[in-house]
Amino acid sequence: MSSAAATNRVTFPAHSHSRYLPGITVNDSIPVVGGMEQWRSEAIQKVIGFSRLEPNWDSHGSQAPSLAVRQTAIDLLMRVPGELLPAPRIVPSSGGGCHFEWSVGHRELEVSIEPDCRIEALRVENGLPIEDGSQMDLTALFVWLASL
Amino acid sequence: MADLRPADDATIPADERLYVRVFPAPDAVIPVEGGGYRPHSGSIKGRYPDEPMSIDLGSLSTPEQTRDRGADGNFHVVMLSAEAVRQLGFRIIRDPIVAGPIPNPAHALIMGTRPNPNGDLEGALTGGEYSRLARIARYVAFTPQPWEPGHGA
Amino acid sequence: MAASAASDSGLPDFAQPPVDETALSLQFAPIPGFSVPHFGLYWERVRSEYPHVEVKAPIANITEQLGPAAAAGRQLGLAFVTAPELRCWYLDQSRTRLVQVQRDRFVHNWRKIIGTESYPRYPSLRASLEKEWKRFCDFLKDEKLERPKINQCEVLYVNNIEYEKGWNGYGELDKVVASLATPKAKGRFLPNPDRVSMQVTYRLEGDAGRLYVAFSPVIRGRDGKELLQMTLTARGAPKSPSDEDVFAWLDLGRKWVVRGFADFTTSEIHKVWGKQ
Repeated sequence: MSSAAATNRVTFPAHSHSRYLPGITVNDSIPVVGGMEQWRSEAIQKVIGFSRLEPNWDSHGSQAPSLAVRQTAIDLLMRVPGELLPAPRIVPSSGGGCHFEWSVGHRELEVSIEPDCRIEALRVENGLPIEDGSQMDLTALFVWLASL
Repeated sequence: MADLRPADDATIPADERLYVRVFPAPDAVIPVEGGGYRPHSGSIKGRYPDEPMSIDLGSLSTPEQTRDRGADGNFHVVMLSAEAVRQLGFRIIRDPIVAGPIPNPAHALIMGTRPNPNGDLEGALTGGEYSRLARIARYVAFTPQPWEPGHGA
Repeated sequence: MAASAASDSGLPDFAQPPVDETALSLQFAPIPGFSVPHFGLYWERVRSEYPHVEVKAPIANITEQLGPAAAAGRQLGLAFVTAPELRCWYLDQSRTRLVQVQRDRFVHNWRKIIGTESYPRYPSLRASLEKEWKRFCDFLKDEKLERPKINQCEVLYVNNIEYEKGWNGYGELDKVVASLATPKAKGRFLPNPDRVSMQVTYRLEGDAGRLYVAFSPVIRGRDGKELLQMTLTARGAPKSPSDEDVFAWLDLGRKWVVRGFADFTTSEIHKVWGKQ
């Protein structure tokens, strides 16, 4: 994998095949590239561990987060700028979703993956949720969280 | 937008304790500055996003009863005060469960302001409302056997 | 379709191949007039066998460039669209088999979900694709939409090579990858590798396309196990869009995938996989 510090730029031949392009495969695997941060590796293992929740784990009839939910969660974790943010706290949520919380100073970011794989995000500042209807993509949310 | 929620039940006193059962995932317990532990926001979300939040009234249930009712006992329990919940703008109503396999006379509901698809209020909670409640809730009981991914649950 | 071309005779065969997922893909120009409602109408046709559906973002159009312009840059399909683009997965009850549909692709996948499923073998997957493709074309005809002209085919096999099943880490990669099975030089400076990634490309016979062989370390999503993933992808253009030529290409692609898999891996690890 070429370093961003390299100065000689190369382009890849037209027929090159990048396995990181979204393609026709369905089962997701997480590339292990050199040094994956320990927090990221541990977070991925936590999400994968949710697959071992038994039916009715929450006493309200919920199933474990589905493969699709777990893969969405792992995809999310792979996109977090690791050098800026600490490890998230992750729990399974009733109904078969996944819920993340990141905290940086007086800011927090909650990201919820619903059982149907929709992603909802909530910013919290000084303990108060910001529900102003603004739409931000995940990158912008992580930047907001880290920019203190 | 119509408010279809029942009125707040004033017979539930301000000092009423409200108990919620929480699945003991490792990250569900978050230390709070100044002491104590609060739940992760995702830990108190209900299974059905279009329904109010289920709680037990402390005057009719102990934390242990809330922990064990209809379950295997391997749960934590958090507590909220009715006064603090109302200060955040929520309504609390009694909702005793008298029929069915697991009667629960202590059952009650916290009503939020998440609109239904028609824009009406029926008591569901927004993500922000769960977040606020998680931040005022405190653990009062822990299971000695929290869940680990290597074990079943 | 010629069944003999689809049989396994003459090809290496493994009793327990490490295959985790297969995909047979047909690509074509976007079907004029095919839009959001057609995904639902098609689902009605297949729902009894594929009761689950998931909506995904579409995947890119990829065309193998084999001529003189091949090195000039990646060829991506660009089109101005006024309708939302999407891709639908139609999954069977077990969720191990699925059909993927978008305006310019039709894909049939098989995969492991739990990990103990047996690979159903190519003839079965080919027959399943034939059946579903015919059903899709019949649907298009009934909806008065153009029959697609296939311009690219793809055969993809994803293999998960687990540690401690014939090898114990990247210091023993020579037990898995045939081209690395040479005696290690004495007095060498470098230690055993921490991890290895590799990608090799071959041209298919008759310039029918390319075979991509890639190795990379991955964490498997369903159980968090780290393993070495070997992906073989054959992609290219059939001689014509006729069903006969399309399925002949798929058979060719599959031959290259299977032979490539056997050539690339060692006879030592073949024993673990039960080579017949």
